[in-house]
Amino acid sequence: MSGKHHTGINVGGSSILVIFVLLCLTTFATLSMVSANADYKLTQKTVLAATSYYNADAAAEAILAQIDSVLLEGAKSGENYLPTVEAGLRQIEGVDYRQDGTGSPVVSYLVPLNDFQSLSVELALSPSPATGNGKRFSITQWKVLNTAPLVMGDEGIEGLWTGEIISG
Amino acid sequence: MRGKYTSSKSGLFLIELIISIAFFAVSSAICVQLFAQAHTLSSKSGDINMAVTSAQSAAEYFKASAASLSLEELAALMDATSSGDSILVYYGENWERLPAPDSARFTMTMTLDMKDALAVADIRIDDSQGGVPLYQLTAKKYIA
Repeated sequence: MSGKHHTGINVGGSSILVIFVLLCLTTFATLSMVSANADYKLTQKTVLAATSYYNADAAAEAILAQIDSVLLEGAKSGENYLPTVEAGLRQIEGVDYRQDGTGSPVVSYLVPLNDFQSLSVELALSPSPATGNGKRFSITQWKVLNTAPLVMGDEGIEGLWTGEIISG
Repeated sequence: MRGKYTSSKSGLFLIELIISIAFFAVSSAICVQLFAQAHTLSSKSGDINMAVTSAQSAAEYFKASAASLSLEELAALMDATSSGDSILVYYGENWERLPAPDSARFTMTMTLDMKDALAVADIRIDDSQGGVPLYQLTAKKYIA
């Protein structure tokens, strides 16, 4: 009987408790570190996206300035306005000159943002010579386009919904 | 005999307790360090995110403003302070707007310039607790 009355000291109990607490601490510390690291990586991507957008935007503004100088030069040529403008615009790299369905002159260009996106700009030009600000051209498009090539799989374009209805 | 057994058991328990406490102290110190690092990294990410948002907001103010707008008028539009050729915006510890630099932690400086018919805005956000700028952005606008 006397052997059953211990003094309350259990050898090994404290070790088990410490191991349990440390396991919990390590798990939570690792989880918080992983979460913070993922947040930081996302922030780096945000920084890269914002910086590359404004770099592309600045490049597009510079091209716009070049186009406008060509338009101003073309306005001096009078009746030969559109051919002069077309010839001038062909000198600017990456700028595409065409006429839309109604015969109005349209200029478009792409500025790459990253490997899979580009800033697409489209301008509607005045068909007759004009020197006033806001009259030589109007910006009809200034948007980011996805230019990544579509990956073709065995069943068509990968990542696209095939139209199959998924019922729960 | 029984007393000797009890005292040896107490001694064993004491040794175990000492080892446990020592092990716990070392391991928990490492874990607390990890928690602190995670907290620092998380606040750094938050600050950079806010810096990017503020810089983008300022850049859009600049791009949307009329060419005829003066620096002082743009500063007034942004509810900011103008100084020389720069616009200054002050933020507190939690990115709240402050009217004066006295207790500001973050400062956004927007410097305006003209280069070849392009208006250039250099936007920089500094942290008073860190040496390098938190974020820098350059926005350009063609002035016809």
